[in-house]
Amino acid sequence: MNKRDVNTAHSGQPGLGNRELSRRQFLAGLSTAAKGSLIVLSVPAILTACRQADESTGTPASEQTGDTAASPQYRILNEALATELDAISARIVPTDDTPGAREAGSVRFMDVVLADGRQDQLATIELGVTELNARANSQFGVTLFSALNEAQQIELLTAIESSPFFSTVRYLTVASLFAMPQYGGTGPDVGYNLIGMTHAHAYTPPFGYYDADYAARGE
Amino acid sequence: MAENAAAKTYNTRDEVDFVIVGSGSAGGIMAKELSTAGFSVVVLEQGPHLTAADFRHDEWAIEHSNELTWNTRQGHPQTFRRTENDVAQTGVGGLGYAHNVGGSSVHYSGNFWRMRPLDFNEASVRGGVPGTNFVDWPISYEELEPYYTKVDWEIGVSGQQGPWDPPRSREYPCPPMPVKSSDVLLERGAKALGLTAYPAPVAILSQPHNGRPGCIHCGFCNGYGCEANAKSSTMVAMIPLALASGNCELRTGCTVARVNTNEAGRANEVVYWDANGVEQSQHAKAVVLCANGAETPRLLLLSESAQHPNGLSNSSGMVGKNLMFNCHASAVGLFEQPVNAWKSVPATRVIHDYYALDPALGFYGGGGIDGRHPTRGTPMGSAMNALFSGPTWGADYKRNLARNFSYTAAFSGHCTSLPLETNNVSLDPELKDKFGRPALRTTYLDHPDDIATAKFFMERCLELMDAAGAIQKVGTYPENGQRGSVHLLGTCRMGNDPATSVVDRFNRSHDVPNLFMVDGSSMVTSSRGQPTMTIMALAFRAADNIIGFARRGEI
Repeated sequence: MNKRDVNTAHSGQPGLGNRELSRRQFLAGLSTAAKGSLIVLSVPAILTACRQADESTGTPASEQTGDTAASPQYRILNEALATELDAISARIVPTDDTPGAREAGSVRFMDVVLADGRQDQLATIELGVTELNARANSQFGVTLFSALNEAQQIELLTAIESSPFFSTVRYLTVASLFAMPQYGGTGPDVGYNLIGMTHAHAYTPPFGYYDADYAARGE
Repeated sequence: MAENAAAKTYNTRDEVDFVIVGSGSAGGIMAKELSTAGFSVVVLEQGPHLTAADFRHDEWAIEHSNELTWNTRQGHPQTFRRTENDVAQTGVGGLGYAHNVGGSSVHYSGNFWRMRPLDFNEASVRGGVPGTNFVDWPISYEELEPYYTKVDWEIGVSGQQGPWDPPRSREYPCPPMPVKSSDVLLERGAKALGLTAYPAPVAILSQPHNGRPGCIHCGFCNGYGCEANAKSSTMVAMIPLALASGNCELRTGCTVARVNTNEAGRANEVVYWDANGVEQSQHAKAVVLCANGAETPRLLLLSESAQHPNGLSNSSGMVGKNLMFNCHASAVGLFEQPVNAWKSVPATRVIHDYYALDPALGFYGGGGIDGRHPTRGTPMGSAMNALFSGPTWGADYKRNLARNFSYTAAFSGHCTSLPLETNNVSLDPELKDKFGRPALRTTYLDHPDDIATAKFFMERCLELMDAAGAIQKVGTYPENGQRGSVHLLGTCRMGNDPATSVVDRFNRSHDVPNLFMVDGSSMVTSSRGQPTMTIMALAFRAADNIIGFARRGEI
């Protein structure tokens, strides 16, 4: 039985396999968060809470450049790319009085999930970082985004926050806060502690404030 | 993974009584009913046989890597377009269903509303909708009621008879789930507006039943397999009984290629790829397709032959047509105290005052409203969100995360879809899946009445939010139309007239006497947004009739 390559079979577009541009809102309000992300929510995801379509179009990833040599400590990222992604993710979910993206191991998460069948997204991320560094240079005379101060970094990211590149890094950063440790990060505790989620797999009533005295009130 | 070593095995060259394609909501029931009635049964299932031990709270695997639902990553790409004038594309929409023993009953949220008598004859009672295929069912609620009750007791449903629920022959086997704060708020809003919220029926056990435990309220229902076996999937409620009968062989990892017919026009062979990708075929006296409302019509279209040039069982041209998603709307509200809607089952109260909208509104529709977590209760999904137009990154975004996860509730409207020939599944002319089969192509644009109904429900949900005391709220509905669904309905519709329907009132093909289609594809109308209870009742009823036909030599 020949297994045909799904990546070469449609409309002359190469590499569709992991390059689906899902603009569908997966959860209520998600479009504001995931718009334009190149790898978010590949179809068909679980659509139960699928909301209305978001008609915006993203730009397909260009062909992978293939000139990336992964650092020994990463599966797919090189050191320079990892340094910039670390700086970006630290602005997306900063470390303040509570842990942020850095403590969640966001970059290691990105490395693992990109290496897991999403390699063709790397070129987009590399290009995005290159462009961001170029902006750092033209606006602030500094050659690396990571070398900017916090206010400068926020200013540059705000300018590109609707780009597919930023959406993709933002998506991966947020995911890393809650992902299980086998995906390269430090596990979900950074995210769980932030939102008040626990590792308990069982709860008993009352579940929240409003059902606590439901019966007593005769509701 | 489950071990099936002790179960019965059949030789593919031997003719078994039934081959069942798919082991989900309908297939699992069919397997149990036919095998325990003494017939030899082979079930072909694309996915693996998972168990509770395989299910985890792993959002990245389930929601972001499609571990259960499969897509391009697993070699099963789909395409989507709005109308036949568009070129369908990947990555812009599609259909979702779980690929595993038990099918989507493993990952569903288990909202088990029965349809009402009105659902079966609404076109006559209310009047048709020009330009649509909105017609009566060939069966009535009364005919289906015993099988709804069978679902309640054999599958396992928790609930309490509501004020407008259709008559039932037996009480629910399990009492309703304990109310959640999100639904206390829904109920407060309802009371203030003169509406009635009552316990939502769910296919999740509130107490031990049929040897399974009650729910532990972990909150990971919608999209996830149940780690406690409290969710009433056919994986836990039916398949074990089928295997224990000694008459059923469950072949997992088997993807069906086509159904062949002999010179007499009878289905006699099901061709499939086994778990090693090797082509096999199983001979059978009769074939039952339970592959869901997407894969059943796709398989019929893939089974075209000189005898059946438009696809098997498609003399009506209706195979794949009349796809219905159900429409939906939602309002999300922020409250002063912790709601924690992420705990326990998705919904514990439902409002059915708007079950059938007044025709004077100028559009057809109806549905129900229940309380939910805004993002199905999962942390990663919630954090992806930026509710109330708040920032999507940075310090303020981070600060809002906790508030958005625990202090919000959603009131969700679940409503009707009209059947249209222009909404359908078909074979993509270019894209292939990993087996070289034409990919599933979906063409869908909601009828204007469906959109109007969704808007109506969003407005009601927003009113309820105000009445419940929300301090901030936002409403959504698919204004420009949906681009996908997990509700796959209507694509082999049931009817008395072979010219306009695919199966008869007993789920038998009008064209091929020993071929049956039993799943969401049989549905004539869409229900009010919770179709699985009806899919399962139809499966029990079809099995009952098929057993009778087989015993009387009428297949």
